[in-house]
Amino acid sequence: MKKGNIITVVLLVVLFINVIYVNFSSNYKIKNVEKETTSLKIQLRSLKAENEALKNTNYNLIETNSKTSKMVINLKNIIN
Amino acid sequence: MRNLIIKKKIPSGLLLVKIFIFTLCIFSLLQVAIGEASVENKENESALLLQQISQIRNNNTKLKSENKNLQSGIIKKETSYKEKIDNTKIAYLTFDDGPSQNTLAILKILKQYNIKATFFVNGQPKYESLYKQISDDGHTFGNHTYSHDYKKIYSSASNFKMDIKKLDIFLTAITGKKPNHILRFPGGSNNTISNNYGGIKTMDPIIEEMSKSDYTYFDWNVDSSDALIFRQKKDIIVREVLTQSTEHKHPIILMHDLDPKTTTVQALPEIIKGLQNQGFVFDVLTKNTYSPQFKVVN
Repeated sequence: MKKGNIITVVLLVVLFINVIYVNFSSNYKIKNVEKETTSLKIQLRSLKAENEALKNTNYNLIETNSKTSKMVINLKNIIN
Repeated sequence: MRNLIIKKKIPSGLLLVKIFIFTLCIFSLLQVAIGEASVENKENESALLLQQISQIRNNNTKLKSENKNLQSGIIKKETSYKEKIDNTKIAYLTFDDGPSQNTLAILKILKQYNIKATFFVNGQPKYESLYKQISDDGHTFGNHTYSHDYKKIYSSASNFKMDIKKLDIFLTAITGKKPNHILRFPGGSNNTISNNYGGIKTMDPIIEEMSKSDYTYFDWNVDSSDALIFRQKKDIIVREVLTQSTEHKHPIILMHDLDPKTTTVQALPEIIKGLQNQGFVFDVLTKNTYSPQFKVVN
């Protein structure tokens, strides 16, 4: 085997190792980003549920507030 | 010759190794490129999610503070209302079993004194115009069952509910108003006549069923005694109402609006004036009104 060929093979192996390293680090990055996205999705879902509950409470409170106001006004009217 | 063949084989083997490694490199690089694109996509998605999270968070914070303000406002109003109502003498005039030929006269008297009352009516299609007038004059309806037929209504909880619903539909068709889910049991919630038709303790499941259906039932704490006999004396009706009312801050007065109850109509102006002299104001029953209940089923 010629010396030149050995150098080429060694270089190719080095290149291959480098590419594999880049590949692994890329996969690691993907996994991390995916993990982060999943966690954000869960957070968003829970916030949406909280938002729904708050909206319901808000609706009920507005109803109660309006009823209470009517009761107060009615009482004022009958007293006067 | 043989050496030549060997010499040629070695480089071709080496070439294959080179091609293999090179292909692997290209393949891996492609994977990296695809991976990078996917990372970019996911990062964009994350940025969008973060934006949405931030928006919802802001919205939730706003809602929380709005709810807190509403709650404190309601508590303030309720406290003030409770204080006022506790210090106010309020009489609730209620008329059961109508409408009848007396209803018009009752309405006229109530109008004259600018007073609103609660009519616990039954279903009588011939008096359609009276229902309308009761509603138009600003009085409140209470449900007293469509038929008032003890045998029918007290045979079971489902029959009772059906009769109540029938009157609700009937009243809504005439007045266009939604049912207010206020009811009075014929004979009161502690009647024993129902035992003859639905068995012992038949009122318990009926009361439970109606509570589940979001109805509030009202008995009374002042009995005008106009149902004790066919036609009670006017003076006795007036005396009973005025005497019993002195014992309550919020008397719920039971009267009847049937054809024979002409003395109730005659007693009404004296009752109103007497109660006014005792310092009472008048109101209609609502679901929030204190409701005296003879029987409470848990």
